[in-house]
Amino acid sequence: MSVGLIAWRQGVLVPASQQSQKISEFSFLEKRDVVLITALLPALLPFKKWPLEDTALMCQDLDRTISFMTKSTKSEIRQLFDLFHLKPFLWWHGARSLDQISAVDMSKLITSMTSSRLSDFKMAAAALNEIICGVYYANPQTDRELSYAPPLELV
Amino acid sequence: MIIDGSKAFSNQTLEVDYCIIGSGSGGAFAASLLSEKGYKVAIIEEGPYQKTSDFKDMRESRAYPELYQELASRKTKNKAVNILQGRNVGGGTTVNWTTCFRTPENTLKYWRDNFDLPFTSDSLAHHFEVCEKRFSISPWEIPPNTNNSLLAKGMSALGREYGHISRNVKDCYNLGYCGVGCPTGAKQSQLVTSIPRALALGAILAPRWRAYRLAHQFGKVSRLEAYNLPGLGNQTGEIKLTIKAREFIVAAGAIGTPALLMRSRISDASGLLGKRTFIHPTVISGAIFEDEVQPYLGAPQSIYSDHYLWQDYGFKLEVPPVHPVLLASTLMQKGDRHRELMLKLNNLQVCIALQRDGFFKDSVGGNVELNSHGEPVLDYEWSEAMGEGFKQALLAMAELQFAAGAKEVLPIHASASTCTSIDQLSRMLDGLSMQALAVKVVAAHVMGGACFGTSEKQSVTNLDGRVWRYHNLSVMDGSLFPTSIAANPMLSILGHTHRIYS
Ligand SMILES: Cc1cc2nc3c(=O)[nH]c(=O)nc-3n(C[C@H](O)[C@H](O)[C@H](O)COP(=O)(O)OP(=O)(O)OC[C@H]3O[C@@H](n4cnc5c(N)ncnc54)[C@H](O)[C@@H]3O)c2cc1C
Ligand code: SF4
Repeated sequence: MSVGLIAWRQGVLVPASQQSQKISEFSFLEKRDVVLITALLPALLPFKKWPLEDTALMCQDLDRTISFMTKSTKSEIRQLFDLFHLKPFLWWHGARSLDQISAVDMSKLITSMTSSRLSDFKMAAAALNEIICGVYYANPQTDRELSYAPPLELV
Repeated sequence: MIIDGSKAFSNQTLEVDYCIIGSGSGGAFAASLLSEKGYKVAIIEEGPYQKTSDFKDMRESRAYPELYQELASRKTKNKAVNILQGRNVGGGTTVNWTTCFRTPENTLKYWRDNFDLPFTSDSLAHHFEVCEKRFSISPWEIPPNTNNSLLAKGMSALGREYGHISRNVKDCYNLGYCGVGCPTGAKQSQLVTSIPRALALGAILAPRWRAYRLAHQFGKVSRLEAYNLPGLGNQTGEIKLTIKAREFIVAAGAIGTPALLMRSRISDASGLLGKRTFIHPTVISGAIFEDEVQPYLGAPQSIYSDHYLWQDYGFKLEVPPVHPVLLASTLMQKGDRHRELMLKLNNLQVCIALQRDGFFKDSVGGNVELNSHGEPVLDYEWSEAMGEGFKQALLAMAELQFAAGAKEVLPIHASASTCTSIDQLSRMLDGLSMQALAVKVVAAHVMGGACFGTSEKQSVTNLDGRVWRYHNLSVMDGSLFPTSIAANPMLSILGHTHRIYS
């Protein structure tokens, strides 16, 4: 899938080629972060397919969630995402680039971060899992998958 | 009168008798008591003023960004502890789980012996009685939900004691959504009790303003400077609210209060400001049952056990309400394994063990620090012995869960796997590290950091919460406690608020 296509504009997917480096509709995510998220989703949420539209929606929800965070948390998330944009970091973990990494290799990368002796890597892996899973299950559409009885409607 | 910072467009100045920062257990209750005495009170709160009608959707996705500090994902400096704190008008009481305990006598005795504090169960009884009446606190008579009744079943099968919890509710529908804001108004939070009372008596409520600094000279605070928070986010704007008052009461919670005092460079001879911050570090055990548990339905907490509370590094046993986002962000497994556990939500029973911190030499609590943006961050680490306490707690929870009929038990830990017997689990636990980021630790009870006491060398405030050497500056929230409470702290905070301001 060409991740270059992802941008969510007023409910419509727009080719990213029409966008500048920073996708204007996102307040935090940059184009390269979208590439990262596209690579992360099949590894952290492997039980479903990730078509373009669903990836775009996740990016939108993630961006909105991050926009509520404090300045310092935002800058920590920036550092976290930027870690994956460092080529040597990927190479060190046996991956060539984010837009070519398979779900299996991304899972391996995250597992190796989790079991790393460096607490920064452990922290980073835990944070990614928490934020991606948290945002996914915050969507009411996932209630049925879990047989979570949606809240009653109060009159 | 309400002055909403999210809609403010010009700088403003107010002049009142009492300026109260924070509208949680301590701040809102103090505001209503002082308003009843005829004082002009202003309450400054960084969270939004949302009402019962705003909670009708009962959704985590709305509640966490709007009602919690840092979207319910506040963390300690080393990211090893998730801290839940309210950030809204009503503070923690708007989102808490309605469990009410008086301060245990053992805690008060420890304070008498080690901190020279004069409080006894008897001397505080009157204040607790008044609060119990005022906030409709009484034993919960309705049968516990399955999540809670399995805690009772397990403890009773082991021949160990457990008890029933009192709750601050009136005509409760037993829904189970207390953590996302009670949609019926049954929970007698500060949002539906003290805040409307204070407003009716002429108090000014200023939501969506973040108190930044207290200006002071020669031991007297002259004004508070606060900045607006546009929209729902966490970033302050540039519009300023200045409040001049005769008295200032800081009630911004046990991370927010030390932070404001530190940003304001309040002098502190004890060196304890922001130190000894306790959290009841809490470990978690999940169990899968054959029958449905639906751990999100029904009054969240109605059974507890203090069986292990007063042993070394003791812990209180309770259960949490388990909704999808909370579960998803608590599980440490990844990928397919994470999904597998999520799909078992309906059959999941969860126990939590809240460690009593602050009672041992190596249980010194955490330190509140300010980062380069002036935002507070809690640096909290645990000793090896406290880690051993976590292990004992995980074992005790698994034991009771198996005794209650669990098919599988999973201690929430990065390297744990599900076990089908207590022997298997015990062997696995032996090999698990209890270090930061390995074991999952969460906290919803933040206490200390501006402790009260009898001498300015050993405490930040006097027994009435007045900051030493300041004529008109006080603290009134969970920061005042010199250790953790060893029980859910809301009623302890309310009781001291009544003791000081009634
Ligand atoms: C999910 C959850 C469940 C809980 N369950 C229970 C329970 O069942 N029983 C129990 O006893 N306890 C429970 N607690 C804990 C209890 O609610 C808190 O301990 C208690 O409310 C703390 O009171 P407080 O006055 O210290 O501060 P808080 O209630 O935290 O109030 C402080 C307020 O100050 C505001 N503030 C902070 N900084 C600033 C600033 N700079 N400017 C303006 N405003 C500021 C915050 O937004 C907040 O609203 C729970 C807490 C949570 C989060
Ligand atoms: S259980 Fe009771 S107090 Fe809690 S949300 Fe439901 S009605 Fe409100």
